[in-house]
Amino acid sequence: MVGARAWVLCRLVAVAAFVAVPRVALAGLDPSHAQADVRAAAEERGYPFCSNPRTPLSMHARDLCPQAAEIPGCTGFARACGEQDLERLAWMNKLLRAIAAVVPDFLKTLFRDLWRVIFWVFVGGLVLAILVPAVRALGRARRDPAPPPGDREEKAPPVETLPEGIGEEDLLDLADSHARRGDNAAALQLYLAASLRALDRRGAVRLAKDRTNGEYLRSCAEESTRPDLREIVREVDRVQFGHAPAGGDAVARTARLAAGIVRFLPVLLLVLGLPAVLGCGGFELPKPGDDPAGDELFRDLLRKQGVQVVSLAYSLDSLPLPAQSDDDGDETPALVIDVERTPLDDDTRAHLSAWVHAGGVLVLAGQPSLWPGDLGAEADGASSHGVTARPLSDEPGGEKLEHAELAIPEALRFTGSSARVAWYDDETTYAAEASVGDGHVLGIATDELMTNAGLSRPGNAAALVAILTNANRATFQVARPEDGISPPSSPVATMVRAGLGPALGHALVAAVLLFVAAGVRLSRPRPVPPPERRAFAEHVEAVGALYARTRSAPHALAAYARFAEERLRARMPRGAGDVAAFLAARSGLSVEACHRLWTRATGAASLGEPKGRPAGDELVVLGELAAACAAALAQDK
Amino acid sequence: MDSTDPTGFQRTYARMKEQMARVVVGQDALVEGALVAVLARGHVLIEGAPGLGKTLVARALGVVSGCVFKRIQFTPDLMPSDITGSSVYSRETGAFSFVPGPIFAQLLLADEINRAPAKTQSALLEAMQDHQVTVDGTSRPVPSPFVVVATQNPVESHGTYPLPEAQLDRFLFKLTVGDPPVEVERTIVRHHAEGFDPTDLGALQAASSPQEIVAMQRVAQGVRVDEAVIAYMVELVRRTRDDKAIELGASPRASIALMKAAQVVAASDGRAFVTPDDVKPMAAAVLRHRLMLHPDAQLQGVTADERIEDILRSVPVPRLAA
Repeated sequence: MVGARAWVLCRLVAVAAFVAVPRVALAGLDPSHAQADVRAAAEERGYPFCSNPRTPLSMHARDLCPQAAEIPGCTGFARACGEQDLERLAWMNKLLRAIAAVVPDFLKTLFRDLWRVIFWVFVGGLVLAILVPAVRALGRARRDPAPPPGDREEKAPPVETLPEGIGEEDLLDLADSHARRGDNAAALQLYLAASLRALDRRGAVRLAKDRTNGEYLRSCAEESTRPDLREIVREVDRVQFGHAPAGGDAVARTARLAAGIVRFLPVLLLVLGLPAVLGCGGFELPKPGDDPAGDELFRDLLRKQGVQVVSLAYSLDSLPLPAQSDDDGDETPALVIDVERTPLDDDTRAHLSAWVHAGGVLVLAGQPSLWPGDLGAEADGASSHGVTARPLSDEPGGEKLEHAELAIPEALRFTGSSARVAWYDDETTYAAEASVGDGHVLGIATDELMTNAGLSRPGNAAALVAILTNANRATFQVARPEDGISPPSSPVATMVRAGLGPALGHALVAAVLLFVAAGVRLSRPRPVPPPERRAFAEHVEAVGALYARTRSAPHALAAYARFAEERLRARMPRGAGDVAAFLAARSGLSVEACHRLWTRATGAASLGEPKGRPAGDELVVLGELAAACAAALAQDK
Repeated sequence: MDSTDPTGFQRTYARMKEQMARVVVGQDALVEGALVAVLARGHVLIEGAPGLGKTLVARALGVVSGCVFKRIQFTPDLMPSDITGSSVYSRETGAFSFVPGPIFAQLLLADEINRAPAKTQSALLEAMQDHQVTVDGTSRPVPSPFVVVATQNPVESHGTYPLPEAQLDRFLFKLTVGDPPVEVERTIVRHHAEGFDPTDLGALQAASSPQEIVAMQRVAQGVRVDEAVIAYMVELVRRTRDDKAIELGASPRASIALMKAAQVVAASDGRAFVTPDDVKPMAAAVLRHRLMLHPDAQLQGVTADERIEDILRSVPVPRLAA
């Protein structure tokens, strides 16, 4: 209990000390001309959020619609708000917010990043589809400088000497050059070759020297391409084998068909991609300041107020901790984060908390539930829209209060000690200041006052400036939307961070399967082992059965011994004559065993030799000899 | 008659094929092979187990082509004169008069040709090669067109006389008939259940006439064959002579046969020129009976069709740019 009281006392002292510090930084922020600054910035920059806002209005902008009529000259925004079914949209907004509150952060991050990845992959693909042919064409033009017009056509290489691995685009170019030269027959061949090369690359046909044009046509897996390929093949065959004249029209038509086959993918991408990018109802690039919920005016206001606005040199996750003492006179800039605009992940929240504890001054705006948890801020409800803000003043009690009107009545409260900076008419807190460790947090319940529309309402700019004076800094760092996510350490980490880890794994598995299914056949061909010859096996079995029926085991052994001798002698070194010794050396058996085996085998009687009856061990000996021979001959494989 | 150009040829060919398909179910390759052989002035040997429609194809071909059709059932006691005909003494005139045998037909079905001895089989040789028959020192021409469709059963080897190589070489094609797929077999049985009688081909109509067949043969003969395609065909045939698994490769007559068959295929597609695509499908039918496999290869179960398939894969198709 005593400890808790001491802790509360310490916090109060710290707040009082912060409030009582010298007001050197207040020279910049002055609520009295804040509204004039906002008006001047809007006029200078010509922000269209009032006259011609971006439609459809964003969810955040729709929240600000109640203010639209209160902003002088903001007819466009008011009209855009009027065109929307505000009641339904308000209900939808609430629903979406509720869903957003329920959905875990990692899922939000996943969906957002997934969308970004898809979008940028698509954009990248589109750019590549356009750039690659252009760059290759440029490369070719640089590599092969254009010959003088007189001998340009004679330089086209003959089709019989095409280099290996020439691409389909190069083949098309080559065909065009032959067509220009008037060598239409060769041009037709090259158009066909380019088409087949492209289809082979897409896996629709398999190029092989023994395949005929008809076989390519019948095996083409792209049904939509087959009619075009058929026309090309018909024309080529007519000219090559039918010796029909190749007319210019036929060549032009073939060229068009071949180009359609070769450039199928880029064209498909363009056809599919353009409507997706441009949208069915037209596409308009976002312009600066066209979003009523944007923060352009807020940044301009700070500059007009004379304070320094700097960008972050680091992500919020890796922000250097402020120095313990500012002996050199440099003060750490106040860090302004609109959590509605700059989502914070868990690591970033933890680091921000440490940064504040180390002495940083943090201005947080937006839903308190999204702030670092250990700051002790909670969301609270408010019943009024009017807000009174108290600026920081050198003379306690002498400050001039500023009044603002808000569209979104949301309040906050700190669980620990804090000093109220702005409050609603119902006395709930709109903005408060709390000491955390060696630093301070200036919390604002909503970011409405930082939006273009929110600042444009008369009185609101002064109230915001009044609130910001409590940060007691002359330099502000304003976080950008992308600053809230800590940077990944590697491309793979990027994918994993975006929630694409499982997808990456699936892609790898798919790549392996694709390789096994399609890539393997593109590898160097290996000699196919001959199929098992059943007939030969049956022949051997039949011979064996014949020997068994005729009780010819001695003959089988003698025949096998002759076969083995022939095989072994073929492998013996020059001058060697002892087959058994060679067999022993190669098979690993002892020399004695091999001699015994060999003597027995070669001594067996063959058919027709009157050498007596079977001894009964022939098959055993044959088996042992076969095993020894197999071991001996296996070394040669 | 409109078969004097490739387009007319294509129409008549399609009509004949369509008529054949009315009675022969699921044997497209066999039907096509028989038609091509007829139009290429060739003879065809059909090999297959009993009951697969060999004879039916030949009979249907006789009706559809409009040619005079005769059939000889080859047996071990069949004599050459039973085929060619012989001179018979006439008591009334006191002179010998020639009674022509069944070989004097336009479409001759030699059923189970390997059941007759070599001497009898050879009676066909002169007619097949020179389109004439010599009896008692007098040569008599056979009608035109003249096509021999022979059948043989590969499984029953007892009491048969394998055709000599010289005789085999006279056949343009050797077509093999395999078991039909289950769906086709069901269709065949369904047709019989609905009253189809293979002995009654009255439902078939002649889609051409002997004169039209001769005209089509002339059109096919006039189909252009490019030098590159000739080189391709010759290379295919020559590779059979270099193959280690083949003891005796195909003769130049095979190259000619391949060209004739390809010409018909091209004309049946309405073209006046041959492409390699017309050659490849005919290669197996033209070459398989002209190859004598090495005994070792036979022992290992290698078939002529496998070797032909490998040769087809090893010979590049003529193409200026690939």
